Amino acid sequence: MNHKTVPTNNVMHLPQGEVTQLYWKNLPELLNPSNPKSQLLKGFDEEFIDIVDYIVRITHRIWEQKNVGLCNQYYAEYCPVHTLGAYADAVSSVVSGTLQTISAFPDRSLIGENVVWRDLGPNEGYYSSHRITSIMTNKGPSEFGEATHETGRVTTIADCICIENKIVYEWLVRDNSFLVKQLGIDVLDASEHFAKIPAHPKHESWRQAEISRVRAQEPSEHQWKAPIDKASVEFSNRWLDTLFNQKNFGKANTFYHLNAKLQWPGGRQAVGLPGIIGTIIQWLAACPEAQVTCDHVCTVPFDQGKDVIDIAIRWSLTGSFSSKDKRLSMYRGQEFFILGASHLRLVDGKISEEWTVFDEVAAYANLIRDFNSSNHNTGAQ
Amino acid sequence: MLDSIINAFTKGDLADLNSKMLHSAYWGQHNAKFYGSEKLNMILGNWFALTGKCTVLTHQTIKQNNHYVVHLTFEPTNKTGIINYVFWLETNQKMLKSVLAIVDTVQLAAVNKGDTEKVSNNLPATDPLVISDYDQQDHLQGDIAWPSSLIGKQTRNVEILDQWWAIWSQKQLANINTLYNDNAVINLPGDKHPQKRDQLFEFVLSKINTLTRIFTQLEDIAIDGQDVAIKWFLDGDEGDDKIRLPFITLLKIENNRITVDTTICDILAFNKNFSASRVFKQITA
Repeated sequence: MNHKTVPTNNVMHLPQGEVTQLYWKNLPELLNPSNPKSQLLKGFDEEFIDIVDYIVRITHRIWEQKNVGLCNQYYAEYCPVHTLGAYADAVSSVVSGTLQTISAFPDRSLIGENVVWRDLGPNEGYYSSHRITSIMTNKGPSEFGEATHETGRVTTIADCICIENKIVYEWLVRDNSFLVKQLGIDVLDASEHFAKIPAHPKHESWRQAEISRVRAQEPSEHQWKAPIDKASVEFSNRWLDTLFNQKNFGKANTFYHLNAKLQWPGGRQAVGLPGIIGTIIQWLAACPEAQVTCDHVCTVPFDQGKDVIDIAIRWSLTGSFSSKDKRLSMYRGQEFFILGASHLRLVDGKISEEWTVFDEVAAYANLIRDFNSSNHNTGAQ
Repeated sequence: MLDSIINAFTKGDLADLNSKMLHSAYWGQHNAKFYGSEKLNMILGNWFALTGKCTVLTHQTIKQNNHYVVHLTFEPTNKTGIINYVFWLETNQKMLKSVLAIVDTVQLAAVNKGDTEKVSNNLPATDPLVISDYDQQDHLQGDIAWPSSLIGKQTRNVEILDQWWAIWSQKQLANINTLYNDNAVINLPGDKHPQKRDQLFEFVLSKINTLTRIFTQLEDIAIDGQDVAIKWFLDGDEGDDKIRLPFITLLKIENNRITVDTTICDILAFNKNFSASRVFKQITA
C-alpha cells in the first residue's frame, strides 16, 4: 500500500513479542501451533500458547467443528453477553443461541481476520477483540425471518474478557444489515421481525443505563489499570471526539491517509477522505446531536519492522433519532443507541484501513420496540 | 504465483492455486468478494464455461513490496478473440492473502458470439454497496490523493503519473497528446484491437460527459521499473443515482512518454450493478 506521510500522531506501542499474528498464517498452522508459550496464561489449559491462539482455536472448535457443548467449557457459568439487540448471561443461553444460529445457517464458517488483545494483569486475564468474516447460507428460520436459502457474509467483532480459560464477559457486534441485504431481506423488514422477539429485561435496563451514561459523557464501568499504549488511547479518543462529538470533519486529514479504505455497516464503502467524510456525515445526519464515548482501546503491532499497528476500539453512541427516511419518520425524536466496534490499521500514525461494525437491524428494532411500548402504555394505536 | 495463475486459468489446475491461498484469503471480482473453500471453484467454473480451454498470449508482472500485479491476455483455442485479465495480488511471496481481479467481460462476451446476456447471466450477485454522498471538491484542502502524494515526489516518473492522473481527475484531456507517444499502444475496455490517442480522448470524454459531480480516487500504485499499475475508481452522478466504476490501469513509461496503456474495467458487472446507467450504453461485443 502507498502511504507516504510524516508521522503526526507519534503512535508508540507495547511489544507484541512472539504472540500469534493471524494475518499471514494459514489455518492448519493456527490450529497446530508449534511455537513455545509466549504468555503467562494463568489458569488456561496448557495447550494454549497465547491469547490469540486460545481465541482462534476455541472459536474453530465451537463453530466449525460444531462442538457447541464446548461453550460450557470455555464460557463461565455466568457470562454477560451484550449485543445491541439482546442480552444473555447464562452459559446455557450461549449454547442455545449458538445452536439456533447453526441451525439457521448450517454451513457457517468463521474466518478469523484479526485478534487485537490486551493483557489485563495476572489476575484480570486478557481482553481480546476478534474480527471475523463469516460466510453462511440461510437454510432455516432466523431472527430476521423465514429462510431465504441465500448465502451471505458478515463481519463480526467479538470483544471478550477471558480469565482462566473462560470467557467471562462479551460485547458482540455484527453487521447484520449487510447480511440481510445479501439474504434478500429488506433491512427494516428484518428489524420489524427482530423487534417481535421480546427483549430480556436486563437488556432494556442495560441499554437505558448506557444511554444515560453516554449522554453524561461518563466512562464505561469496565476499566482496567493494566498498561496500555497512551498514544493509541489518545489517538482513539481524539478520533471519536473530533469526528463524532465535535463533528469537525475538516480534521479528518489528521487521522486518515489520502487513500485510506473504510468498511462500514450495510455495504458502505469508501476510499479517500471525501468518501470517508461523506460516509460519516450521511450516517450522523440521522442522529445529528449524537454523543459518543470511547469505552475500550487495545492495540498491538501489526508489522514490527515498520510503524504499523492495529487498534481495536469499542464505543457507544446515543442521541435523538432524526432520520429523513420516510419509513423511519415515526421514530423521530426517540433515543437512538449504538454499540459499536472499530478496528483501525495505522501506518506511520494514520489510518490506512478501518472496519467499523454495528448492528443497524438491532438499532432500528430497538426504536420499533420503544415506539410500540410507548404506544401500548399510552393506549395509542 | 504467475505459473499457478496461468495453470489454473488455462489447464484448470485448481489444486495448485488453492494451495497458495490462505484460509482467510478472499477473491474479489465482478464487484463481489468471495471467501471460503468454494471461491476458486466458482471463479474457474465460470471462466471455463465461457472460454473453454485457452492459452496465454502475453503476460506482464509488476511487483512492489506485497503487491504483485499480473496482466494476462488469453486466447481461447478456437481463436475467437482475446481477453484481458488483471490480477492484483497481495502476497508474501509464499501465500496469497487477497486477489482483486478485473476481467474484460465485453471481450469475454465477444468470444461467446457477442452474447453479452449470456455472460451477464453468468455473473455472481454483486455485494451490497452503499456509496454515501459526499463533497467531491477539495476546497484547497490538499485532501485528494495524487500519485505524488502517495508514492513521493522523488519517485521515478512521478511527474508523468501526476499528469496522467490529471487527464481523469481534472479532465485535462490535452495531456493525452503531450504524454502519450505518437505510436502508443492503448488497450481500452471492450476493444478487440489496440487504439490510438484519439480513441483514448473519446473514451475519457464519453465518461466525463455522461456524469456530473465526477470524482476519481486513487487506491493503490505499484511501480516496477518503467511499468506502473494503478488501482482507482471513478464516481459520478447520473441523475438521482451515484455510480462507481473501478479500474486498473497498467502503464509503460519510456523516455518520459507513455508507450503502453492497458485500462481494464468490468463493463458487464458494472451494468448489472447500475442497471439504469448509460455510461456504457449500447455495449456490443
